[in-house]
Amino acid sequence: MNISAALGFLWEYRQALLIGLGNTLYFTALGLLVGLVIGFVVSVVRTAGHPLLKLVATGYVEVFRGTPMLIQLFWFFFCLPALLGVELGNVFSTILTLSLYMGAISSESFRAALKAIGTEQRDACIALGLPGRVSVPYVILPQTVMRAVPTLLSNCVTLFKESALVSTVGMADLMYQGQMIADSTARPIEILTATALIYFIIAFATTRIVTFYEQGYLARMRL
Amino acid sequence: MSSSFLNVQGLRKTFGGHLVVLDDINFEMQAGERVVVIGPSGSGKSTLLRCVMGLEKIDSGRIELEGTPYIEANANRRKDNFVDIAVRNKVGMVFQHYTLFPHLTVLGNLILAPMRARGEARASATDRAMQLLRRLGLEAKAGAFPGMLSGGQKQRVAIARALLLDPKIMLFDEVTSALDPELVTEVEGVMLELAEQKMSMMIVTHDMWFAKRIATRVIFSANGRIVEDCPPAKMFSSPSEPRTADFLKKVLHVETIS
Amino acid sequence: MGGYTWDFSAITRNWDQLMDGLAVTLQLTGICTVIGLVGGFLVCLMAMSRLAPLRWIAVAFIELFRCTPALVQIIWIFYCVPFFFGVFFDPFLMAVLALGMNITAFNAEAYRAAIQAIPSSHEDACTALGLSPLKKTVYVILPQALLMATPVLLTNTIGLLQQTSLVAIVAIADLMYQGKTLATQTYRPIEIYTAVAFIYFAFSLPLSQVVGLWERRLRSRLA
Ligand SMILES: Nc1ncnc2c1ncn2[C@@H]1O[C@H](COP(=O)(O)OP(=O)(O)OP(=O)(O)O)[C@@H](O)[C@H]1O
Ligand SMILES: [Mg+2]
Repeated sequence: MNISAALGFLWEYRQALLIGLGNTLYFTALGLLVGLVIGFVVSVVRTAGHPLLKLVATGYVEVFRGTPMLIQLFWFFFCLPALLGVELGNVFSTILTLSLYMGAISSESFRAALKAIGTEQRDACIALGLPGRVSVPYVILPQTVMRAVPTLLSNCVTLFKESALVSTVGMADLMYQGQMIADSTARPIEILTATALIYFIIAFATTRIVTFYEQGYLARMRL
Repeated sequence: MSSSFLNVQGLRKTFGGHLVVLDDINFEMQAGERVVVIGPSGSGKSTLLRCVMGLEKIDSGRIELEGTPYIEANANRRKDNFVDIAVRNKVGMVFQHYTLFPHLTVLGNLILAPMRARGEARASATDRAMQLLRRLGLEAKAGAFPGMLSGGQKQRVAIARALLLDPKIMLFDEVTSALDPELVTEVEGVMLELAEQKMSMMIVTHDMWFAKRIATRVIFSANGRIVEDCPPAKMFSSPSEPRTADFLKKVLHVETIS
Repeated sequence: MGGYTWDFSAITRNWDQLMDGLAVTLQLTGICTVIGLVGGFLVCLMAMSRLAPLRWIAVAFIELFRCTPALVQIIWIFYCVPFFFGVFFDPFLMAVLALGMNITAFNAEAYRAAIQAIPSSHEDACTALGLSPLKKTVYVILPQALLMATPVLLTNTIGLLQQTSLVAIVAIADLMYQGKTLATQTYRPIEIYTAVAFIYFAFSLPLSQVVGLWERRLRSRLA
């Protein structure tokens, strides 16, 4: 295969690929934002909530971690609107699925970090007379986030990769665009390889940041 | 109501209902007293301090400070204790493992509670914090994170953090036990200085020489009860209970210290 | 809401077809689990070997498969392997190839993390006790590493079970594929997709409970 011919071919379709990448990043970012909020709330509920709420939160996490994201996607695309009797819109369904998935996986990361803070820090808060409205935002949350950041970043990578599934319900993300071009031009090798490389570069760079953060920042802080 | 400063009445504490750690503890303390609690490992010394601090749910009894009950067991044992937080906040505590907040600087650790819980202005809290740090020779460390300090420095910061809240009484639970021997004296020095200023203190320590030096009163506890309660001179020279003598003999390898 | 009338006969009538799909899903999961356990260990050994080229190949393999979406891997292999090698394998075999390499990469990383988590003092202790390098590896390092890697390996297996649903996209008749087919055939997507989700969940949940148990046991044993 001729490399420069391949690059020339790819260059022709840069626009379509970029649009796909933009959509992938857009879906991932929104799913991430909503998912992280859900994840933190769920982890706090599971650590220190009312028993009934705890049960609901645990059920949510287990179901979303225990079923393929593909089926979740199909469910939110084809079942939920019919059940509710309303049109949800494809973008909404996509982001809903990604958010709930991210919420489930990130709640586990938050929970592990919450556990790692330990009772001694809580004792210190009481001994200093810090009420919950002070200890949660100024002591517990910052330490939880700092400890959780490495796993949360890998959760982000996971979400980014899983987001490729939205192509199967016709959302025009990077994977979808790649496949469309591959099918219409009958030149899958170049385009699919390029698609894979784009995913790889972004995901790999993020995992490097994780390592850097763990070795540098966290080690210095001796958290 | 009584006239004493700290008053613990009928304090009973169990873990899980069956493991009785403190069994009907009654004890009073006057302002300015320095009570050292000694006793075998597992006898409930830490638990006693934690109860006074309000860190443990007690099974029965009540604790008063300056005549005001601030912790009281609920008649219904499933319910939470009654806790008067305003009074409890007059009690300060320092732990064996420092428990500084690792994500805040030394100064940040000191001013967090005055600013966020007591509404003091940042400038004034910082001012008082720096004064205190200067007194403890830690001025240069104000901007450092706890992870970069030695154990002795960490423990002095922890003491400063508690002192900045103007406690009426300070509780020290084995604050030198995790330190390298050469760092012990710098922390003990701070405590002796507090003693000179007539700070009321309850101290748990395994260092009998330090106990003798700082205490105005020594309590020997075993099996969840107060076995003996007397001035240090008597405790370390002629304890009246055979169990006390036995314990002292074991930890000191001699009959008495003088 | 509430207006929907459930009709579970869509599931009961087509139960056999769903079970056929489940059989394929479980076969895929089983075969790839074995590949992943063995292959992952070998790749981990390569990644930690003294020979730099071996190490590079292994690390590149691990990162490549960990940092791209599984969907991309499957599609790429389905499109490109026939092109490069000029042969059409059986689709099931291709799926095994794709998922097997994916799980191999993740398991290799799990083994490596576990081995690196063993404190270096154990190495010193072995030297002090006069154990040969081989004995040290077999009796001290490996048992501990396996113990610690087990929860991660199990979690990876749960992930694999869910990833197998991706093969539905390349028309392998697994559980997900049968679900998709039935959903369109019966016009009962809600019942079918919910049932399919339940079946996946029924297999994931016990596994994730085992993971939780194992982790608690590990913590108390190694504390
Ligand atoms: N959170 C807990 N749950 C169950 N048992 C506990 C708990 N904390 C303490 N105990 C038990 O209570 C008893 C008293 O513990 P405590 O820590 O008060 O002893 P101590 O006198 O401070 O001992 P040491 O000198 O070793 O510090 C011990 O038997 C201990 O195992
Ligand atoms: Mg103790």
